[in-house]
Amino acid sequence: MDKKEKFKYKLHQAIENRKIKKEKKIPHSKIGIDYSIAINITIELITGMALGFFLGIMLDNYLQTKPLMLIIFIILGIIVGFYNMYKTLKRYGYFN
Amino acid sequence: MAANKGPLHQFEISSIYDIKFKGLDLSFTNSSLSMVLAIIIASIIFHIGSRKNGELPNKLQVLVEMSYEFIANMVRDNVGKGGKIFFPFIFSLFLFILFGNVLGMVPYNFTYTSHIIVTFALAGFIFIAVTIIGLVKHGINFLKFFVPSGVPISLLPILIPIEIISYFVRPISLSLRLFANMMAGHTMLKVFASFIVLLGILGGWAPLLLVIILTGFEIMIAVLQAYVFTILCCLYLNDALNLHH
Repeated sequence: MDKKEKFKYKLHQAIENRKIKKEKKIPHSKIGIDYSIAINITIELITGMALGFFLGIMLDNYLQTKPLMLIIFIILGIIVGFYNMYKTLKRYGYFN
Repeated sequence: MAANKGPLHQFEISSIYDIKFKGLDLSFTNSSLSMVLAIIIASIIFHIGSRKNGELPNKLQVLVEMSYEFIANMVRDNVGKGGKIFFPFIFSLFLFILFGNVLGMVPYNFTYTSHIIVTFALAGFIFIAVTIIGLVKHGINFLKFFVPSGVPISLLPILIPIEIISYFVRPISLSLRLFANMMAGHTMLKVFASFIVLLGILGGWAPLLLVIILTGFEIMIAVLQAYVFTILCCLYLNDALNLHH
């Protein structure tokens, strides 16, 4: 009796494990989606930095504070870039 | 000859019919031609596909209905409340980008989405429209959008500028994403295709295989990027219509 129950328990576990494995199977389109995510987050980072850079230069020209605004806005732009990367990845279901 | 044209030659704009208007160059270019072509082909497909034909739907009708359903679901899920009136715009946007990308894969056809001015015009229009919609719908409350909820007040002076810059980054990243994908893909294809010619009949088979794989990959990217552009447009609309974080 004990053996039978043990067997049943093991069988049940094996079936469950197989189910989990099947769910975890990577679909074929995964490569394309990963590629797309990689490009998306790269562009997120670059645009944040670029916008910071241009805003800094524009404000410097306007306020005549040559390097100050550039430095501040580049740092802000880098933070924004990483922040947007984080938001993009969150939208794809990471960090959950 | 094709031999003396670089991989970037495919992106050159040439005028087909010169139009000058008060010092402005409004020429009808190969880019305009492919845009008109994309619109005509999309209209023809959708006109024939939505016609009443027999009892069983044919393949074209299924295609048309599936794409309609796809965008309708996207709008319903992502824009949410009050998003229904934007469906025609989002659907036309999706088709315009999709046909631009996919028809760009046809040899000798120009890919208009590989020019940043085209994608930036689309993204800039969406950005301005979304901002105006948000301001009209919520008035001054729309500025609450830049204040993240659930954050201690001492952090707000740092977070608000970040939120504001990250809002202005949107049109740039939206346009750059589509442009970079299309341009990079087409350049890569051309470069690998030139390897076939350079290596000749002996060694040209390896790059030929690669080009075949890349072409399939590029078509997938074309569809995926049209989808990404429209879904981001939907998400931005959702942000403006239903203020929450």
